[in-house]
Amino acid sequence: MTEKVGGVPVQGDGSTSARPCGPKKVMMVPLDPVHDVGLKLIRRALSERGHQVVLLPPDLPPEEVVQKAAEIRPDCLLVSRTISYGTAELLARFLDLLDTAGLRDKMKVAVGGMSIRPELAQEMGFDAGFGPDTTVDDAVAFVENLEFQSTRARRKLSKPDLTEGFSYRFKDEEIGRLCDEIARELLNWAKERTSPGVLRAEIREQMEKARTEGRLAEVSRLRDEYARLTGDEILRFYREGTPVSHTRPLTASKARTFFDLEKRAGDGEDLVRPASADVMAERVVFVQYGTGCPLMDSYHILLSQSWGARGVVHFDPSWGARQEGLLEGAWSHQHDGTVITLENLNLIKKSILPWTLWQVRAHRGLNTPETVVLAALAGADLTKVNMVYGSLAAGTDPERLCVDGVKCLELAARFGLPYDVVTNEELAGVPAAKAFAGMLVVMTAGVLLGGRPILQPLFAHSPEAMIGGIMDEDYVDFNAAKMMVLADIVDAPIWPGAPVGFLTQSQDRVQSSTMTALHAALALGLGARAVTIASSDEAYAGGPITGASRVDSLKSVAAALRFLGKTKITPSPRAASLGKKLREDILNTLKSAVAAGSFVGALYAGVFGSREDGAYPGRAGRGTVTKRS
Amino acid sequence: MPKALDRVLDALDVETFFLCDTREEGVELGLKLMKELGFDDVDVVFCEQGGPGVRIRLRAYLSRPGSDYPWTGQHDAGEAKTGD
Amino acid sequence: MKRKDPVAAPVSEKFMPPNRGDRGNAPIVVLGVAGTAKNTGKTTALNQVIRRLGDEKRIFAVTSIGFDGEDFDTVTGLGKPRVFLPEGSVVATAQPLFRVTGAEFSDVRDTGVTCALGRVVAGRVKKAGRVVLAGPVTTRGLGKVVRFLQEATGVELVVVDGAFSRMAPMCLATHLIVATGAARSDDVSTLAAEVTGIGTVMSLPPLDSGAARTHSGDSSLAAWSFGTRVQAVPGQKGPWEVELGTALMTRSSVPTGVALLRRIATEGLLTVRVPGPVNPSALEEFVRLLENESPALRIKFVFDHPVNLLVSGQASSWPQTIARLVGWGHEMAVLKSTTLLGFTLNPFKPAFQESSGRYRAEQVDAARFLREVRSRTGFPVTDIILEGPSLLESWISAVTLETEHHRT
Repeated sequence: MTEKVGGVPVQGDGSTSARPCGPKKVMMVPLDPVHDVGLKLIRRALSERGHQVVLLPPDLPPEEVVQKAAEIRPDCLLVSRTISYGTAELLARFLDLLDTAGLRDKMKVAVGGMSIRPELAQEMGFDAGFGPDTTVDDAVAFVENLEFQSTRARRKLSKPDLTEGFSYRFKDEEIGRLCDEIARELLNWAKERTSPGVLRAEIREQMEKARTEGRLAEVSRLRDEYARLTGDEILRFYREGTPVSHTRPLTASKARTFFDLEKRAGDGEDLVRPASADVMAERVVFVQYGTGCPLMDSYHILLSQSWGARGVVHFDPSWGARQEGLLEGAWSHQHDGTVITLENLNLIKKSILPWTLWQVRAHRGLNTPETVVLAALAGADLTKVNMVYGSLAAGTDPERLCVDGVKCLELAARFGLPYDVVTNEELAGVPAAKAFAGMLVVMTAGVLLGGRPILQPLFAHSPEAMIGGIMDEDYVDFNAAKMMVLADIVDAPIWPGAPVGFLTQSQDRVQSSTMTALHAALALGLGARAVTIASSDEAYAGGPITGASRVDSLKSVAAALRFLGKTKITPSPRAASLGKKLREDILNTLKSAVAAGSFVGALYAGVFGSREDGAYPGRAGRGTVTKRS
Repeated sequence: MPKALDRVLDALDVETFFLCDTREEGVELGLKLMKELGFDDVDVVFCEQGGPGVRIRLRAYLSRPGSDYPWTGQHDAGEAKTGD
Repeated sequence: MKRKDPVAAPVSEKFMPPNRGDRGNAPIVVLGVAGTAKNTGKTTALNQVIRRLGDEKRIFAVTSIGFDGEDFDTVTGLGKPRVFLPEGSVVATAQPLFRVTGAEFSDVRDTGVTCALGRVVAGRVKKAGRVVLAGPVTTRGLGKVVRFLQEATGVELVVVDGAFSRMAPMCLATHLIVATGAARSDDVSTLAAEVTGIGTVMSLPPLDSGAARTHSGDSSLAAWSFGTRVQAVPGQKGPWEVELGTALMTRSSVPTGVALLRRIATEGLLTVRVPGPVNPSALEEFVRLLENESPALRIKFVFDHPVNLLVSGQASSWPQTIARLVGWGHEMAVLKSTTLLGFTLNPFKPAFQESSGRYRAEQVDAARFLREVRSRTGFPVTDIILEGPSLLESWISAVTLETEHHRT
């Protein structure tokens, strides 16, 4: 199957296919004193496609080149020259000679070089000019008379399935047995319970179904029912229409821009993607977006995809976690985080390309099940589910979050949405082993419900690492140990986040991008199925993340991946011993959890993270769990 | 009153993202921006097109090697006033 | 190795050198505005020409063989004026550039020619404004565009804006203005010498209409062009057909050319057509060698167009070369030519500043510059900023088909 890439036919595997025209005679003229590497690369490509290429020695006087052209009679003449004042004149005179000699019309003539722009090529009298962004493909397309685009679409990508091929079988049977026991207890416990969050999710699903089917009276009724289950500012919004503080409705003109963006993004074929981003095509690198404005987010998403991001993660405001109920409508938010509503998600979707993975997170707060519903309705590809982090380090009551969390697992399985289980509680000070224990239990519960979870260990300079001095010498071994121990325990996909390199980056863009790049390269080299990266603004807290800073870290990652190729960063033997310790501690944590009698009980008791560690059971939603009738 | 610009060692870089249709347009916008900001000796250090625009680094040279540096005299004067 | 003997064959059209392009047979004025270098005030001159044509209510079109009209010079980064078109005029420029203009257009049509920036399309100016010009870059392309403009829009005059110092497509011009100045050289003697050289070349006489037509059967004509097989009809020696390298473009091919001619004839007058580029040093070398080997042979060099002599080597050396040739009894003529109206002089030059690494605008003493260049050359020179546009305007007013150089 062939398709055109940059105008040049390629096979499905990316290699170029048969030439669309007869063999051409091409004369290449390096007018610089040194041989141009670019010309040699083009010569190789042309020769491989069966064209006859004559490469003249460098720095010949124009008259001699014209003489050669008269003898050889090429179909195409490619000149390369660095332009400065005076040399453009020289090239213009060269074309004069060619024209006067009656040869100009017999061939196509193009010029290439670092400072060539189309306007300059035109002024000098060339048929085309190849600047610094030009690839070999462009030159080949020119020779073969194909319409070549200055925007070079790469080979078509497809949306990856991060969970494909994983069995979720526990290789470490001892740990597996414990996880299974705790998970089953959790599911049984949750089966008997419900919460306003669960109820709202059910209402939302019905409401949107009714809306799609045009049953507006039903929508109205359900909306009332929904509102009764909300509180504070959200309730005021449903009753009176009052916007929640720090939010503003999206203006009509901004809303219209989304449609322009949708056209621009299209199916991605016409989107300009720099060649340096090609190396990212085979890896799944996620970026997080959430400036507060869905329109700004969309631009960030577009440019991130252009520079190689294969996935984008929605970042919502932290107050969303503390309120009962989600909003409706298109809103912008004045601070970090973009409000989750179906309307906002639908608008944002317009700039997401067909092959980009989109994650909408439901890992904390009082609205997690409804968030999964919205994610599914909006067409997201992944969500995020968690019970440990949200309840120990993000302020949600453990009992409430577990009920809601199990509902999330069910919904995710029903909607076919894979999800990662993150261990952000490490950032509060919880040791990785405890966090992993919690993650493995949640993963097991998810698998029991027919879902497809993904493990998300942190690659961070966590408090545990700082206090224990574990990462004093390098940022490699501990992270490697995490990857290794998880891979040894269970056959499940691993997706380090969130983002990698957390707390290793400074406000300096170069240091920040470098750290991100190295962490990402480390993770991918160790077998990560995907990785989430930061922008170079990660450590800057003074304002929103800029588009430029996203490009920085993406380019950095691309450079690192290019540097390593199929090689990888190798940990020292210390990693293995760190991993062994991790495994022991995970086991002990699970045993303690069993001893605590229940998963929720273990959370409150600090088994998965104690007050001493820095973890505190949350209060939001306390007392809202009720038994199902 | 000495200008802050006079204390720049050599150059001022502007890192940003322009919304535009072609790389050429981005370069033109960049040079225009620097001129609008009042700089003469300007250049585009880096410009790469992607998606809705270009990632660009623009540079305004304030002191090229060999030119008269505005920070020699003033720097000395400042030290004389305050330092020991 | 046995040298291949030339094979006899009758002279025919087949062996005439390729036609680079023509502007058709219907009468139309093509007014070229060329420069001798960048920043010689070509655009200023162009704008003045256009203004004058507008004032005279001529029906005209404008195109370019390069690129003109950007805010900043592509190489030096210095500001440049842009081309202003009055309502009612026609422009042929690259299609994407219609987007960036302040003017408005109607009847936009594709000329059928492409350039590096896209298809060259022509449109009538509905609302006056500044335009960016980018048009056909080759002689053939220009010919096509001129013919198109004449047939599709009915204009009587096409203004062709030059690019850098490119001259080749100007062979299609009926009239020519050349912009020069301190950017080319701030030394008055050097500049004046070049002006004189260009003027002298442009003044070469046309070949008598009779001789050029009678290829077949005319025993005195040898035609030779480059890279193609040629027909030489020697005096008494029968027809010849030989392969040759380049013509008079480089000194290296001179001995071969001389040897050819000597095999055809060693005495008498030989009319030799040289269709390609002609380098003055190469031509001088040719004649010098001929003097040594066949002093009784006289050549009438026939060049296709004077611009062929301006694309290689120094224009300033032509007066001396021509004088030497004539001194030795040879002649020079052209098949087609262009009326040179005059030169505009620009005292401005871009000066490279070491300290900034950039170019800065500098100006020589304008009045003195003009005076001294004028005193050193007999060809008309004006500085339209210094002394106003009246001299230039008088050139324009005189531009009619009657003043077009007689074409054979």
